[in-house]
Amino acid sequence: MTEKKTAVAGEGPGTAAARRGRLRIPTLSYAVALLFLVGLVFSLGNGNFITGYNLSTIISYAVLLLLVGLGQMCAILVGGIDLSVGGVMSFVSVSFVIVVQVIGYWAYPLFILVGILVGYLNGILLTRIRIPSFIATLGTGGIFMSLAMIVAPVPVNVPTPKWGYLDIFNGTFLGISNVIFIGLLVFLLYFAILRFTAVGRNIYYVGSNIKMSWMSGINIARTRNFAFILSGTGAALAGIMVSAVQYGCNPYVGSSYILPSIAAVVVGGTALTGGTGGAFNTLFGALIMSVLQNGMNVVGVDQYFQQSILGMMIIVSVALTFDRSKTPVIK
Amino acid sequence: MKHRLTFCAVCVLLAGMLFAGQLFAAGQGEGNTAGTTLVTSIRGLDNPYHANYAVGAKALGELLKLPVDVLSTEGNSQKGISDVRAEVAKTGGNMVLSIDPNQAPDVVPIAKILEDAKVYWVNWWNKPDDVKVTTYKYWVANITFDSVGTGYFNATQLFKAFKTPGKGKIIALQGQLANNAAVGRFQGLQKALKENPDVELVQWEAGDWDRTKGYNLTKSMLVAHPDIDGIWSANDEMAMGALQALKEKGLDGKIPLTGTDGIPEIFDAIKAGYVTSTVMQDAKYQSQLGLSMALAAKSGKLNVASMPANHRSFMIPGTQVTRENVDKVVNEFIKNTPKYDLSDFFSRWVAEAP
Amino acid sequence: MTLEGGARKSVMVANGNVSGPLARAWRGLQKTGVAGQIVCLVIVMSIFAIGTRGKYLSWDNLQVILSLAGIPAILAIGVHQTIVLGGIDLSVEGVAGMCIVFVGLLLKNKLNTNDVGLWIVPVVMGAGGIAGFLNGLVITRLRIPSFISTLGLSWILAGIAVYINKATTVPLLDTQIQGIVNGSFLGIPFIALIALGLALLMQTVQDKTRFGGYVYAIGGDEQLAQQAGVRVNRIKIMVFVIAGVFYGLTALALCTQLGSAHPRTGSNILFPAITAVAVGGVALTGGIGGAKNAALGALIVTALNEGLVLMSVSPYVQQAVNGIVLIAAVALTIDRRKLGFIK
Repeated sequence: MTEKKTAVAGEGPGTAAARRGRLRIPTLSYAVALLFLVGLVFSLGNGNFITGYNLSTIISYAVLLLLVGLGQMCAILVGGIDLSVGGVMSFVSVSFVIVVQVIGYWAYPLFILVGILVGYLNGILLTRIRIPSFIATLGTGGIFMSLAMIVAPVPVNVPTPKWGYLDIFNGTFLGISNVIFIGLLVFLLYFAILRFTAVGRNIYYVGSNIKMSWMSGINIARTRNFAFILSGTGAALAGIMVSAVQYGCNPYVGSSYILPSIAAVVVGGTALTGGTGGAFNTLFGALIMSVLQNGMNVVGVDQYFQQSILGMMIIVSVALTFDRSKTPVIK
Repeated sequence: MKHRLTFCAVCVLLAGMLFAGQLFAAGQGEGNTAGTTLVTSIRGLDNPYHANYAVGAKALGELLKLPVDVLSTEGNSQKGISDVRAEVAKTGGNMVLSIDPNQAPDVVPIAKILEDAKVYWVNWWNKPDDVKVTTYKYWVANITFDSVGTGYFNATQLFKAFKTPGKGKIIALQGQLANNAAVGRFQGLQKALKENPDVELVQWEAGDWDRTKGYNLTKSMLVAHPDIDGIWSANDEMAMGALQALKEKGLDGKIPLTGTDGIPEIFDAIKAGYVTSTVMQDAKYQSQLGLSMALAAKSGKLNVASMPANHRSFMIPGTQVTRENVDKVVNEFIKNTPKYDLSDFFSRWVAEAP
Repeated sequence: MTLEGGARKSVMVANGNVSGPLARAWRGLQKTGVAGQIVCLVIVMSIFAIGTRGKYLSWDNLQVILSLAGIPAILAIGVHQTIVLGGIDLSVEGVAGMCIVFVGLLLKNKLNTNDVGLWIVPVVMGAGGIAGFLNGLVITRLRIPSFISTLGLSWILAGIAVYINKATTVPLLDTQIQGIVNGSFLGIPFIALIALGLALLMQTVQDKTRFGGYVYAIGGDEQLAQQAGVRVNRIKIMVFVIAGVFYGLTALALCTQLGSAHPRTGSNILFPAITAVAVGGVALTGGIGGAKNAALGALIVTALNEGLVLMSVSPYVQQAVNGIVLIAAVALTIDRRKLGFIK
C-alpha cells in the first residue's frame, strides 16, 4: 500500500525526464538473477545442460524470440501492441523462401523493407485512421496470414543448390554461429535507437504519458509510426531467420509466436502499459523463455506438465522482474 | 518488498520441485547407463492419434527395458527442432528418434542436427519431395501413408453409399489448408470426382481438423446446399462435428459421410451406419516400427548404407475401415494393443515414396 | 481523418437539419449506444443478402446464424467485463478446457456412470468462478498485469486439463442439457435466447447497480476511483469471477452442442471473442461499452463468417476478408470522442 502511494506521488512530468539515460538496474538484476537461478537448477538436474552444444541450442531459439520480441517491445513501449507479428512472420517467411531462389541475397534487404512497410501500415492505421493498435494489428495480421496462404498453399523449402544464400544465418564466423552475431547486432541496433536517438527517447515519453508528451510538443504520430516500423522490422527479421535456419517453412509458422513474443517482452520486465523497459529486458526475457523451454526437456520434465510449469514460471518471472514502482496502476 | 520476498520463496520452491523431479529422473537413467533412449517427437499429447505414438513407444521401451522420452512440438516447428537438440544434449547422443515433424520443411534442420550428433532416426509423414533420405547417413527411412489413396478410397466409398450410387452432390471439409496430408487427401477426392462425373462437389471449406469448425461449417453449408447426398471430411474430428450438425436436422444416417484417422467414436458411428468409411493409421505400430528400425541401424543389424532407395523412403497402407470390418478392427487395434511383428520392417511396404 | 470527419458531418446533418420520422428514429437509435454496430450489422447483412440473392435472409439461415452466435455471445459477455475494467482476460481457453474436463467426467457419458444432470450448470459456473477468483487474486494481491497472469493461468489449466483427460474424447449421452442448448422456442434457438437473457442481465447490472458504476469508474480512471473510495481490488476480483462463470457456461454449451467433451474443444475461442468484443465497440482501453456491445459484436462476427461460407468465398481469402472487415467495422463504429488518445 505504501509503495503504491509513493508511486502515485512520483507520477508526473518529472519522472519522464528523470528517466532519460538511466539504466533500470533493479528490475534488470532480478531478470538476470532469475535466469541464473533457472540455469543452475537445470544444470544440477542434468550436467549436459551447460555444454556448449546445448547452450548454442538455447541461444539460437532465444535469438528468434529476441528478433520478434525486440520489435514487439517497441510497440509495447509506445503504449500499443502488435498482434500482426504472426501474420507478418508467416508472410515474410514463405515469400522469402520463394524469392531468395530467384534474386539471391537481395531477398534480405527486400523483406526487411517489407517489414518496414507493414510496420508503417500499422502505424498509419493507428495514427491516421485512429484505430486502436490491438484491433488494427489483429486485422492486418489476418490479412498477411491469408496472403501467406495464397503465396504458399503448401509448405515451401529452399532446394539444396541454393542453400548458400542462407549461410548468412547458418554459417559460422570464428567458430561461432552467425545467428549469435545477428542477434547481437540487431540487439545493439534497437538498444542504440532507443537509448541514443531523439525518436527512441520519444517512444518512452509517449508510452509513459501521451498527453504530457503531446503538450510538450513531441510529434506523437511520427513517434508511434516509428515504433511500429521497428516492430514490423523485427517480425520480418524473425520471419527471414525462421526460413533460413529451417531451409523452408510453412505458412502457419508465425502463429506460434504472437503470444510468446509478448510473453518474452513482459517476462523481461517491460510493462504492457508502456514507457518502462528496454532492449536489455527483452534480451533477458527471450533468454529466460528459451532456457525454460530447453531446460525442461533436458532434465526430462514430463510433457504433460511442461506447459503448466511454463505458465507458472511466466507469472513468477513477471512478479520478480516487473517494476511496479513505475506503474501505479496494474491493469 | 514483502511480495518480492514471497516470490523468491515461491521461485526457490519451484526450483526445488524441478530439482527433486530431476533426481528421480536421473536415477531412472542411471540403471540403464548403457541403454539408448527411445525418443518419439509428436505434435501434442492432446489428440488420440499422437498420444498413441507415445503409448506405442512406452510399450516398446518396457519390452526392451530402455528409457523412453516423448517430445511435443505444440504446433511450433522451431520448438520441435529446438527440443530435438535439447534431447541430444540430454542423452549425450545415445538415442534413437522416431519423429512426426510439425511441418515438412522441419526435417532439413533436424536431419542436419542428427547427422552431426550421429543419431539414427526415422521420419513419418512429412518431407519436402526434393529432400532425399539417401543423402544422409543417419536418416534411416522416411515412411508415409498414401494420402491421395486415402482420400480416394473414402470418396469412392461415399459415392457408393448415395441413394442412387455414383450420382449426387457433396460438400467437403478440408483440413488445414497448407498441410501435406490435407492436400493429398483432397487430391484423392478430386481424382475420384474425375472418375465419377455424375458426382458434383458443390462447396468445400477449410475446417483446420477441428470438430467445432466442422460443425459450424456444415451447419452453414447445409443452408446453401440443403440437397446434398454426402459429406467428405479430411479427418474424423471434423466428420464427428458434421455428424452432429446432421443430427440436429434429423439427417443423420440419411446423408452419409466419411472421415480419416480412426478415432474411437468414428467406429461407433460406422457401426450405427452414420459414417461410411474411415482409414486408420496405427500410431502405435508407427512409433514401434520407427524406433525399431533406428535401433537396428544403431546396433548394426540394419546396414543403412546398403539399403535400397525404395526401402529408405516408402509408403505403408492405412487400415481401410468400413461397416464390414469395423468390429474386427476395433477388437484388434483399439481394445487390444497388438503384438506387432517387427522382425521384418518392410512387411507392410506397398510403394516407394518420393 | 477525412473519413471520420465525413461520417460525423452526415450525422450532424441527420441531427440538425432534417426532421421527421427517419431522423427521429436515428436519434432513438443513437440513444441505445449501439447505433454504429447496428448500422454495421445491417451493412454486412445487406451485402450478403445481395451476394446470395436473398438466401442469406431466409429464416433457415437466420436460425443458423442465431444458433451459431449464441455461444460466442455468451463468451464475449464474459470477456468484455474484464476489458471494460481496463484489463484483459486471456485465460479463456485454459478455463474452458478445465470446465470441459468436469463436464466430461460428471455429465452422463459413455465412459463412466456419473450423471449429475442439470447440476452440471452450477458445477461449471463454480469451476469457472474459482478460476476467475485465482485470476483476480494474482492480479490484485500479487500485482501482476492481467495480460500475463491470465495467460499464465491459461497455460497452467490447459496443461492440467490435458493431463487429466489424456486425449480421450468423451461422448456425452445427456439429453436434458443438449435439448436446451440445441433446442428452439418458436423457431428461435434457445442458445440465442439464453445469450440475450444474459446480455440483458449483465447490461442491467452494469447500468443500474453500484457495482456496475464502480466497474466503469475503475476502467475510466483507476487512481481516481481508488481516491474516491472504491474498493478497487474487491471489484476487480468480482469482475474476474463473473467472467470465469461465463467461461464455464461457454464450455458447457460448446461441448453439449457437439455432444462430446475434449479439452481442445475450447482451444480456438480466445481471439474470436476479443474480436467480437472490439467490433461491438468496447474500447480496449477500458471504461467504455457494455454487455449489449459484446453480444452485438459476436452477432456481427458470426453473421460475417456465416455469410462468407454461404457465399462460397474462397477459404484462402476468408481470413483476409475478416481482417479487413474488422478494421473497417471498428473504424466506422468506434466513438473516438470518448477516447482521448487512441492506443
